Amino acid sequence: MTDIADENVNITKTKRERIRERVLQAEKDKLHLDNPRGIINDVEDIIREEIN
Amino acid sequence: MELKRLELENFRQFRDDAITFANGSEKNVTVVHGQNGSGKTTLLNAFTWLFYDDVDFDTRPERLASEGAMAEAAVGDKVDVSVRLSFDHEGVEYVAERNAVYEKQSSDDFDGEVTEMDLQLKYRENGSWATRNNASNKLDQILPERLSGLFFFDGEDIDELAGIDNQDRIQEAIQNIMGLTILERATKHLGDAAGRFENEIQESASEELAELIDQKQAIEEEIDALKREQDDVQRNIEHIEQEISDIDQKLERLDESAALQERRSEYEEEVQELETDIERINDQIKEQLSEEGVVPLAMPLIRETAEELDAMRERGEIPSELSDSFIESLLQAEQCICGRELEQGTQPYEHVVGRRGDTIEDGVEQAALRIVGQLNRIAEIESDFLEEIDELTAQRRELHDEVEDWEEKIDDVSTELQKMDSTTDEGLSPSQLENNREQKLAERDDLIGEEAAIEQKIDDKNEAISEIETEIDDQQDEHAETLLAKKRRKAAKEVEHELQTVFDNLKNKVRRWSNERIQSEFSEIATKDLQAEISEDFALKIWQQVGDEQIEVDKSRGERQIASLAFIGSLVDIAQERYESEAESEYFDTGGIYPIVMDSPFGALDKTHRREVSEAIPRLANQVVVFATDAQWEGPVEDEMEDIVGEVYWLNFTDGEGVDNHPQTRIETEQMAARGD
Amino acid sequence: MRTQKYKKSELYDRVVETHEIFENSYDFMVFLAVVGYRENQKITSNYLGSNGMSGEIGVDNLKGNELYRTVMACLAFQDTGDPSALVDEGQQSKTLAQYAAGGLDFAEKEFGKVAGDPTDAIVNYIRTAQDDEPGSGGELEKIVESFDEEIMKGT
Repeated sequence: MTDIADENVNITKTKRERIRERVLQAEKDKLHLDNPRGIINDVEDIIREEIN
Repeated sequence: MELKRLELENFRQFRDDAITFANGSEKNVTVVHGQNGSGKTTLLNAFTWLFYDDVDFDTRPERLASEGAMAEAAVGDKVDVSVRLSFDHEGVEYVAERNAVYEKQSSDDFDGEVTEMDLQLKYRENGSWATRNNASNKLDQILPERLSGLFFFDGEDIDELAGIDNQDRIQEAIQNIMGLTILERATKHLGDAAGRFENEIQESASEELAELIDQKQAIEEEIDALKREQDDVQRNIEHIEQEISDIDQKLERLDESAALQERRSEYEEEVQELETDIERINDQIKEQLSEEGVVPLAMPLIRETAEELDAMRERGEIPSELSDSFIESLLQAEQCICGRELEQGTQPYEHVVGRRGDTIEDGVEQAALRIVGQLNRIAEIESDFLEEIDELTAQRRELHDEVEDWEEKIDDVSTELQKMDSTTDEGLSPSQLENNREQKLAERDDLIGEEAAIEQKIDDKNEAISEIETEIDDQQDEHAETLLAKKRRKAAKEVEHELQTVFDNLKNKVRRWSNERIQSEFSEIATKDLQAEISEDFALKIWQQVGDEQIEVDKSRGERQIASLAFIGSLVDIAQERYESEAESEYFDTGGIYPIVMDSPFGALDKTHRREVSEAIPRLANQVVVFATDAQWEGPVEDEMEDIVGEVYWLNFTDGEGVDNHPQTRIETEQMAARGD
Repeated sequence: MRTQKYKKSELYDRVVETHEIFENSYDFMVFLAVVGYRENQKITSNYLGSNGMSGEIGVDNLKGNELYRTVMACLAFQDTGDPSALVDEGQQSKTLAQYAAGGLDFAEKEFGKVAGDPTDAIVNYIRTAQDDEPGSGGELEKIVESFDEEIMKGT
């Protein structure tokens, strides 16, 4: 993992929690599927929306 | 889940047979015994075929339909193959049935071709039967496939859980029982998303940074390829080891070679024990080295220094007074700098006390004195160290010699086996088997070497990556796009890390949980001074209490098997406890009550261990089904389990020699079998 | 807490982590410093190691061990010839790092290339070094005795 020390890229705790909760929710919605198609896109989109 | 009845139709050597399972709190064990090849493994496979359409046969895996039924059929005829299981689950009665239709293609076609396959799940509601949609999903909910390996298993391999390098299997089992698929998935998908943002950084970044990321990704790909290669090699090793153990079992079964094979197993256990001893000595050498290894090398340095300091002090270049505090410290330690004891009231003690108040200066002089004063003690450490190391090395040499002696004997056994080239009734010759075994051993050793080489390459590449990552971090990049992508990547990585940490903590919790159960279960069954536990790195280990010390032992197969069974039992307990706690969660499965079905849990064990294992089995789960060979079942096992066995079946196998005969097994209850004799 | 940087290489990981020969990095570091002194190899520039190839230890770990304290004081004294180095902590840490860096170079050649566990190679090195020693005892006893007399002689 690359740690970036730069001040500009610090993520606040609230952001992190929001991302975490949304990702878990998205996973839950597809939990019953053997192959949760499109889930990586969903995760990617969540992060895009939260970090902009 | 409670198993009630299994019915087989044209499934391998079973034409039309059934087993009713024992259940209830008293006699919860069902035993099915028969000679080798009579169909024990087939019964285990009947479960996995029914639930997951998955079978694992050593011989003719494609031949699912009964050979007899196929032979009787005419070309174009269809043969129905089915397995039906009645069970209760959460207070509801179910009947699951898998059907396959095989069509005979030609007159010498005994395999047939599948033309239809169907799975049905019926349940009883308000007295009448209804059919479930989505049978396969529902069955996977009732008994998740990822858990099936834990509860339907071949007992002959189970001891491997407590073998070396099986941390992964233990971890996987624990992860599976946790049912936290959601965390496993989320962690993985966040990692994947982080990878996408990394690509974005690269696209928008300066040439220099892009180049670095390129390099890093290229190396990561190389590592992935190496890991795949490593997995392959590991699988090959496992496979070969399985083959070796199969050969061992065959040699044990043949009358001609049984005694020799048994002797070899004993010798091999001796070697293993000696090697554990050698390992222990190596650890002791390391401990000595870490604590005192520096002393012999430092001796000249300290001596020279002491001499010079002494000379300087005599020349008055260091003030020679002693400080009060130094004298006090000597008195307190009750030892003079010369090493002499300073006991209160003795002359030396009074001398030292008399020096109190002489002192003006602290510091340099005191430090010099301390160094000189330590010489004696250090010299003692030096000679002790060398003596101790000599002693340990000598012990180790002796053990190595012993190992060599045993290995010579093992070689002799092999040579003798190779000479036995007469073919037995089963069409096998010990010499053939042994030659094959030798070859496999050589192959395995090659593969182990190969694996180590791959591991080394991966290490080197990982080091290269961490160097590049340092460089990437040092790169200052100003593009706004790059910064944003960096930030997103970082967010993904951080959340991934958070979830991973939570997951690991939970896993550790389950590990400790499982540990408590293993410890109590194991110590009750196994020999008194042995204990089993899952270590922090998820290895299933067996300890021996020697005095105050716990020493890890590489115990016999029997003990490993008991430890492994205790582990499985702990998982059954955990699943049940979670189920009964009535915890509701939409995020993970909340456990269940599972039966255990195992093939040959007594294979390759001596009498004592058979007895111990049979004591362990009924305690593993609410319901246990055991398949065993006649030889394994009769004797101590039968006696031991008498009180807890509810149903006993005997597999009556006819090999089908002669015209129009085909291998077939009838499942008979013990009473019928007795009458049949 | 005071710390001291030191030159590191993959050998530290092998000896401390992979094969668990020395319990801590600082145990191995002191060992290397003594090797460096013995082999007369000291590195005065770049002895702190370059980025990614350096380590850091708490000086307290060293001071907590009487043997290590003695070794550090002796090295510093031998290096400077000045008795005041016996109480100069900064000087001692620095000298230790310099000899440890020299010792590391030597150790890399001596047992860094051994495949597998280098324990036996290290033991052999100690044993060989021990055989080179002139018989101990004589000088030592003299010193100890003279000190004994110093402190024991009656008033």
